[in-house]
Amino acid sequence: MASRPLHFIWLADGSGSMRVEGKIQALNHAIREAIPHMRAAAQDNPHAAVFVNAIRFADEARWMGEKLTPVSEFRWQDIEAGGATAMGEALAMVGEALQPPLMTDRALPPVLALVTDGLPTDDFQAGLNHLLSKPWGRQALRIVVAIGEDSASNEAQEIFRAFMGNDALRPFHANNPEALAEQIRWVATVVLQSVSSPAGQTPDQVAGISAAGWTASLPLLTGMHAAGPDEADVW
Amino acid sequence: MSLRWTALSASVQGASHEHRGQGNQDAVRLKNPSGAEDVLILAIADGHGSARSFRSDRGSALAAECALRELRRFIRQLGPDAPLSRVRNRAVHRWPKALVTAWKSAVRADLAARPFSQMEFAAFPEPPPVVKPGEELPVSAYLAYGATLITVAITRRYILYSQLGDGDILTVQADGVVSRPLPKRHEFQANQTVSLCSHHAHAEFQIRVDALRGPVPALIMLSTDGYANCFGDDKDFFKVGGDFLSYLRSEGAAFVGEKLETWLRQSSHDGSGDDITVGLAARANAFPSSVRFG
Repeated sequence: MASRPLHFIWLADGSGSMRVEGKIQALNHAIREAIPHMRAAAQDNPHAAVFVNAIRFADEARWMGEKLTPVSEFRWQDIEAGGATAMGEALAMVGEALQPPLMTDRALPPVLALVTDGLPTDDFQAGLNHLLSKPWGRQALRIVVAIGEDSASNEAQEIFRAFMGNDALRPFHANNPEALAEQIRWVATVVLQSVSSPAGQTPDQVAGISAAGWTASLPLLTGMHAAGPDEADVW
Repeated sequence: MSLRWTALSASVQGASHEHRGQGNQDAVRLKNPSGAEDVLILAIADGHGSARSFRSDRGSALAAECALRELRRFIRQLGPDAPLSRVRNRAVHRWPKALVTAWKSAVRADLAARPFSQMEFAAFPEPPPVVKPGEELPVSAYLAYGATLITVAITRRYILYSQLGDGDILTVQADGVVSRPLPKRHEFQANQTVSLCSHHAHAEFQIRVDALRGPVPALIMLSTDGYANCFGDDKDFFKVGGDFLSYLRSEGAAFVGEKLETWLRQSSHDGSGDDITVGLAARANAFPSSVRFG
């Protein structure tokens, strides 16, 4: 017997602006501290095999580890800040990865958690288009942890909305290290649990939410235009 | 004259659904499981079980029941001597439409008897759809009952396989070779599937008709996707077809019938956590005469 693989991918901003006010240290600390909670959340569901990986993006995007790292073995490697914000490249890189052989017929919809303090400096739209051109990219639950006040700008919010692709979702926002740690932990536990939980625990894809319960089938309905439920239903 | 086939089935609530208090969304129906009549039919349906498909347990039951009724009608209308080319042609062009029409009609009737409540639609922006004479129901009504469907009908001259959406049909030859009579559709990923509530659902059916001569399977296995998802890959999944054949040969159908539910429950617990339904149709003369069926 085998449980179904679920890939959780951190997209961590390592650009120069993250050096300001200790944001990069806060990010490293928050994710490192969240990993044990993530393991515990994964253990609560024996029917999903959770794998974790991360991409750091700055002047370029780069995978931080092997693509298939069981959550029990995943260790966060602190990242340094410096350079530009190749967010679009990171998205394209994830899109490339979310295909066979990594993604099998039996895989669960993956989770992409973007943690950033600002705006991309490369072609974000091209990267997003590439990600969304892949079935697993479209099906992924895409969430954002936005750091600092710059990430609250209209331009940044527009980027985040485009990434999440779901009007019912909002970015998590953190203006200090404590809030960041809390938001990261929430993403690493509650979001992980809801994606890897049975049908009905999370709103379904048909209603516009990517995170369907993992045993629920998602019927393809051409011409179905139902709006999504309230934000409260998601979190 | 009786068929030399017999069938058995089991359906279990998913281990994760049990934990959540969500009922089994699968359904299975058998027609003539002992093979005493001229056609044996096995139908398995898998309700979507998502928030929008909150009546999919009823939808899957209606699907399996409609499938038995419509398949039997279809086969009788063709008659016992219809050329296989005609059977194939009608199976592709008429049976899916008849089934989808019957299922939608059954959903309408169910909805007329048990209208949607405000509570059932409390999480959605639109009001609950209501049945109105002469008016088609909106997609959201059918979606509430959404289910996939796989069937096999065995007559004295042919086997008719049909599949709409996810789930698996495996055939096991007497020498243990396992294969799929219908190709797996890889274009649907991440739990996506076509189903009875999809637009133009009839066009999404996969159909195959095989003559009952030459290398006839010793065993046909139908299962909802919760079963295949308990295995790492198709190679491991296919082994279970051979295992069932071995058990049927060595222990008999009564033993397998008795154990099947326990095996499926264990699989759900150790594997996918999803509801699992399996139907087995076994050819009696593929087994030693000492093995009793039915």
